[in-house]
Amino acid sequence: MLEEKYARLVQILRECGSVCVGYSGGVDSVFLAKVAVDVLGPANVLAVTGLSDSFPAVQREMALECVRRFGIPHLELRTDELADPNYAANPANRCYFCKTELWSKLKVVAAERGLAVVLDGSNADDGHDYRPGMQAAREHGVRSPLFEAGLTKAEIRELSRRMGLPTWDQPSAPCLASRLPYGLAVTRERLRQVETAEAVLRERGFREFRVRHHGEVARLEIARAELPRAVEQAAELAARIREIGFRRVLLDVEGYRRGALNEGLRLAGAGGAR
Amino acid sequence: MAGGAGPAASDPRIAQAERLLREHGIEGARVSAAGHQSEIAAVEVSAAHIARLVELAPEIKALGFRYVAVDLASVDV
Repeated sequence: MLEEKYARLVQILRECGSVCVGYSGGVDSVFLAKVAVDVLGPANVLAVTGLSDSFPAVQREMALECVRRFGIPHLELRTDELADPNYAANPANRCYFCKTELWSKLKVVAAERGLAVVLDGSNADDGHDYRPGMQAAREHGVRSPLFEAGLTKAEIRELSRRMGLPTWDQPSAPCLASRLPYGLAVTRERLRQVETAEAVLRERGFREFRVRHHGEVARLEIARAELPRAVEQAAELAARIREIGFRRVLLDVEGYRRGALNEGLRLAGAGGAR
Repeated sequence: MAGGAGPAASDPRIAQAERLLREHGIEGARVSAAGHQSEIAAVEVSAAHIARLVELAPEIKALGFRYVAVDLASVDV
């Protein structure tokens, strides 16, 4: 089954001929870029990273390490989704505006370099969550080979492990704006606070977590297995994170869960606009 | 405690949540509504009671909160 899906992925890439890959340095895009280089050769592949205030520095480090290790042609370009007031207002379809900015720039790059198709790293699981960014991809003619091949996140991790990619067990790392609940404006200062607070948790050895920004409150979502250690360090964590500018630091008792800020949308019945 | 003083005083969810905690043996816990939409039940509680609080989280959320969280400044380890 897994081999069949991989074969389908290879077939899709061959059909494309030459590709420009939206490349964040996460599990999916690293895998996709590596397979694209293996199948099409480096002359027919360009991985492009959009650098913006919502892109974590730690993610950029992984992105650069992988292109160096695996010989993936790479380009970084500046994107500025914050300049779009539709994005900055942080509506439920915020990702649509961010991805519109990204894909419109990547289409230009692809055209300039003579690359036939722009690709993203959406996978088969992404159809289950609220993903307005996928609409922007469709509108810009971006293809999603991992999704088309039916590869799930778990399967991409397994294939990445077999290929020796360092990202195979890397926690998911969506953009920093995903830590702000819908309706709370996205600002450079808030993104910086989230990134700094998450660096505090990373320094202390926590592995799976999010710092959710609720205005003056930081709500820490930490994997259930790591919660006891967070409680042991309660005073130190509270002090360090308050220094960043939060008045109050809260530890969510349910722990880290993917897409937690979409829970409100589902409760309100507004999650059907995939 | 910051984050719960104003609207919290008239928020019926707070008294309900504190009563729920008392009924389940968590004495002295204080609850406030936090977050920019008062969507978080922020609980001041000792470390010894956190495991019980985890079990009670669904019932506290059913009072109208989206999240249940411990105020780290209140935790005495």
